[in-house]
Amino acid sequence: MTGAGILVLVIEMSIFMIRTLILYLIVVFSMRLMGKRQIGELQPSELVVAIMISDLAAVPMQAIDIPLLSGVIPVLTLIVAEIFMSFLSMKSSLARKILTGEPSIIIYKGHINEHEMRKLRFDINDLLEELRMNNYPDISEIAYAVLETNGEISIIPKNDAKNITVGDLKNGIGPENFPCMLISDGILNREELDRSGKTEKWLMRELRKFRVYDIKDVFICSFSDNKLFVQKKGENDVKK
Amino acid sequence: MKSFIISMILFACLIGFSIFHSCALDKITGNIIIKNNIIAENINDGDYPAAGAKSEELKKYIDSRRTVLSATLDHGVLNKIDEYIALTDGYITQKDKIDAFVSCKSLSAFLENLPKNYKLKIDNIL
Repeated sequence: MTGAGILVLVIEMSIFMIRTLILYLIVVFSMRLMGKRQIGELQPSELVVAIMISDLAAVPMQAIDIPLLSGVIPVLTLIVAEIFMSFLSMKSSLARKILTGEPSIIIYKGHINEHEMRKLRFDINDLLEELRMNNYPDISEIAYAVLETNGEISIIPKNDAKNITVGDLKNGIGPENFPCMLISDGILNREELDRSGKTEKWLMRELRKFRVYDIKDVFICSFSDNKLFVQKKGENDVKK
Repeated sequence: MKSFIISMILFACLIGFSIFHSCALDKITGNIIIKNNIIAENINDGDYPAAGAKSEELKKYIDSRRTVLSATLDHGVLNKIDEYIALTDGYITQKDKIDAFVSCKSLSAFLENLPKNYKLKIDNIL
């Protein structure tokens, strides 16, 4: 084969390379656009989008008779849909409930919630397996366990089973607590308020101590260990 | 928020492109069909030199729009169009009236069905 022939061959093969590079850049751009959340644990919708994007990008990579746009447009459409859904989830608790579901408390104050487990089709063996994988082989050591929307289990152990912290040494060890998220992004969560055993009147009185006069101004308010944590919206945001 | 704004811009671009694609494909295939039907008439009238000249004109038109067509259609479809035109050319050169006419009409029928597959219809979505 002559040098010119080899050059022609290389140029022809470059079509595959160039198309692959273009699609690679688009997929990387798309994943960056979806945000840092994607790099960590995935929600169900995010997992679906990630799998679909990889499949869609692969098709025009392999088949050069398919236009590049037939891979690019579906990928970009998925990105737009995913970002829109994320934005909707952020703004609406109902949308978040439909799209990503809600965390489920499987163990509450050391007691396993059988009804919740049946609803989730979560077997006791699945639960024990998850506890063992989180280094808690003894279920009696668990105070609270929450099945998160991404399928992971979060565990709050009983005092006897947890590691001592600086706070425990300073203040002594209090009873186990599952924090109540009373306000989230300016919206009052009545279920959590009821679970905390407090009233709305009490909450407003406490918020006034933080110079908050409207629930809508609160970014996050949680109640745990008889202490209230409040952060107002836009408070002390560090801008680069 | 930045991601949301970029995604809205992308969405607007996608919508804009879809409209452009639909209109462009309609216009280009429409023009090809018109030129092709003129060739068919010339063949039917036995005017092979005129048919040959119009066929050259059609080839030049397709070449000038090849980038747009390549970006949106399967390359196999483009090859099919080139194939039909080459066939028609061959029959015109041989003054084979029936085959040239059939080949020409086949191209028109093929092109008439083409833009319909990209229209916003329930049939196409399903």
